[in-house]
Amino acid sequence: MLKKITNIGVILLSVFIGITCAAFFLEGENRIPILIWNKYFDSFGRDYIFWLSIRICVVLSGFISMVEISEGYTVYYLFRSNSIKRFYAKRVVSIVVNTFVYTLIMSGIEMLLSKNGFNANNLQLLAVIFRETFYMVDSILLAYFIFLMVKKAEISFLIVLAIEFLQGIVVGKQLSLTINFSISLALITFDYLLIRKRTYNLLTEIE
Amino acid sequence: MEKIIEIKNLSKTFKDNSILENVDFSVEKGDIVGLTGTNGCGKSVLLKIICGLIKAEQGEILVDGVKVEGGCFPQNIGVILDCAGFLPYATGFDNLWELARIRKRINKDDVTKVLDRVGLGSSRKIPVGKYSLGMKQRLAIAQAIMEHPSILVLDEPFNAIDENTKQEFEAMLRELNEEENVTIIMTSHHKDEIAALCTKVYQIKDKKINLIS
Repeated sequence: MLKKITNIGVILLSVFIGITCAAFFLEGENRIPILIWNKYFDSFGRDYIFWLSIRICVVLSGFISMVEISEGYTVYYLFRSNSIKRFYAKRVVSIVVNTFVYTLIMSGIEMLLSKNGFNANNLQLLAVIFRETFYMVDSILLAYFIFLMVKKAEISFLIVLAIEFLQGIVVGKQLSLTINFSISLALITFDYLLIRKRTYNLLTEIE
Repeated sequence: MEKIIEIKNLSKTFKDNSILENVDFSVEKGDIVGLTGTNGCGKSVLLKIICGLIKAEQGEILVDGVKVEGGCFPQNIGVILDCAGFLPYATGFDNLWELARIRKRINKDDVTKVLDRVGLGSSRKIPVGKYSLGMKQRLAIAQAIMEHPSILVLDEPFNAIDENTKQEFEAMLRELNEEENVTIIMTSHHKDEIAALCTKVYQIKDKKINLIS
């Protein structure tokens, strides 16, 4: 029940943010929010706020998992899942599926509402969706990893958002699709291995 | 008697600190076994090793004839561990139902019945965050027994529970043991708790397990 409510909540939030973002961009170049945004964050590219919003949704959906771990709930959950490998595999699959669904919803809204189109419909839509899914899976795993270091779900959530902003400022634009995939896959594997070890230690209080 | 838990030549070390050394230990089916000892002697560690939550460096652990290895968990065990273990913003019922849905062995009525059994029937729709420590411990006991396990592994099960409730739970555990032949292994700092309930009492001392009564 709890997870259903969370998922429905995040989907509704995605829709809300999607519509808001689309409306924000559709208002035109000379509107004050756009002018402020361009002045301070021009290097992000115009669609960065849109993708950042999706990422916020996905990180929020992962937030509940972190709260579960911090409350010790997952010890009993883990124990009923037959094996630790299956437990983590299910968790990662659920993150990927959630991310993909949210991205799809947001991209759909963008496609419907935008006139000239942004990255999502200028480039190949599916490729963009997959790339963003990878980015977000990596973000959520990174949030998990930071959470396991600091043991505060809220702090890890904020750090990941800060990293997203800094990445936008430093990199300035999206890297090529192949490089994106490679970097994301490497980071996902790395984070996953670290998370698995640290969560297991946290749950069993070995440290 | 048939041995339901069998541990052979078990050793466990944490960062050069040896907790258990070449331990042999077994529990027979239908026994109520108590483990006692000082803080940090390895009681909880031993229970977690039996559950598969901690991997031992050396030794063999058999639960109901099946070898337990770190990362794989025996499915016929009900557990209470020394952690809070519940989502504070979800109700007692929702917490148990989320867990029950994983194995799909029981339905919602069974969850309600087990909450009634531990005395939380009237509080099942209250968020766990508003429960007292004693109520949380009752919920932990409900979580452990709800799927009718053949073995109960209980780490300090009577923590934060008042004397009357403790007696109720002791009676309930005896009933489970006598009527459903559930094997129980539990830890406690209090020797009187152990003596009142257990058929065998072991003490962990100097990295070894010794039968004391």
